[in-house]
Amino acid sequence: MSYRIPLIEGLLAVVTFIAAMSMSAILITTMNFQMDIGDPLYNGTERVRLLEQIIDQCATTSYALALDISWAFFIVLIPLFFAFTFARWFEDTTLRTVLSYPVSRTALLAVKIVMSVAVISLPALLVPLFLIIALLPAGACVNLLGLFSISVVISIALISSTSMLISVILRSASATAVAGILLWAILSYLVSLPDLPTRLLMLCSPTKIVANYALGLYSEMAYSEVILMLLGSCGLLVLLVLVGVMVFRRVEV
Amino acid sequence: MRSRFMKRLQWLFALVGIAGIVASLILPFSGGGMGASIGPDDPVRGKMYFLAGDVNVHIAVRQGGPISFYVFDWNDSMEMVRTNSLANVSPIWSRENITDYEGVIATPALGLYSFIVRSLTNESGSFHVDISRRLPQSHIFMPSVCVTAFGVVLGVLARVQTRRKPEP
Repeated sequence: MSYRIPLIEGLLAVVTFIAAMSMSAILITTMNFQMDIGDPLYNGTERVRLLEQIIDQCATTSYALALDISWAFFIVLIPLFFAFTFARWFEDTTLRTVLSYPVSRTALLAVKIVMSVAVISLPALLVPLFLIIALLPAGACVNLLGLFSISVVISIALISSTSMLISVILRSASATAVAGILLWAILSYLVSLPDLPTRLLMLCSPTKIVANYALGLYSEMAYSEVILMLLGSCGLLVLLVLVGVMVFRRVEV
Repeated sequence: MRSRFMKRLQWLFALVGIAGIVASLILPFSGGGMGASIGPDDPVRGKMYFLAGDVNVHIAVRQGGPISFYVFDWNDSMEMVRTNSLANVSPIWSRENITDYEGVIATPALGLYSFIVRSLTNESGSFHVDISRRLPQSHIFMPSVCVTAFGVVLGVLARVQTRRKPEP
């Protein structure tokens, strides 16, 4: 297959740009400080600790913002990526050639999803983290990093598996691109509503939920609820992959 | 295969570099400026900013006597807060005894910097400092230009390599 559209490279550039912008937008007026020269009760160590806590909060907020804004681009770029690298295989008969070798359909689908998740998740997770390490003072740490990492991987896997499923059903690059982008645009709009029509929608967008949780937008939500929600998203992902494999095994190439 | 790998690298460097250039050109400046009352009870006021290049400043005393203005990097800022004193720290930029000043502060590297105003008199007063970024922010712009240029050079090399290949 010819290499025409640099989607992966474009995705990395978008993530870099978003990470840089969310870093700059965060470090703002919260870093006000006032010294009390001559005050005998002044506790310098305590004040330094407080400033370091603010820096940690800045790091967490900028990481959450970078991932949250990246999500808006992923819902466009990942369906496009699958449309051009998988659905097109149906159109130009590449898939028929690939399947003429002793390769199982399940293995092909699994490799496609796993590799795309790895290739897209790594820059999404590492670029903002690298910028935080490079730009913020040494010792700044992102809170809930594990939760962020898991949620990004699940989110990208969810978009990838739905795009794969749409590719298998529609077998057309342009139709896959349009349907995938539309589906995720509608889902993200619903998730971003202040009053969710149903809590089940949270399962579609773990990154957004964890980012909002880290930003303190879900004050009523407990940590255990976030973990449960991530487990629910994992269940949805497994279901989508299973349906995708079943359809792909029956589809005529 | 090799040419495709070069093509990927070319796009990777070029696009990431362009993303950096665009970011350096439109980097917003949140909370730009500081203004406060200053007096014998609280003679030192400060604010911390993230800087990725030089900044324009306009310092004006609105009421009261002259002030001193200092810019410290992160380590000196923390030392200053820890010791509650300006004695053991050295600013990267300073202007003493001013009532009105307009100029440019050059920053040596990307990072957090504290902008400190100190009253030089025992009377109460107020001041205002306007701060704005000088775009493009050089500490992001220059590395991004280098990365983009590297991508372009890779592209040229890939093209030259393809042309030199004999026709099958």
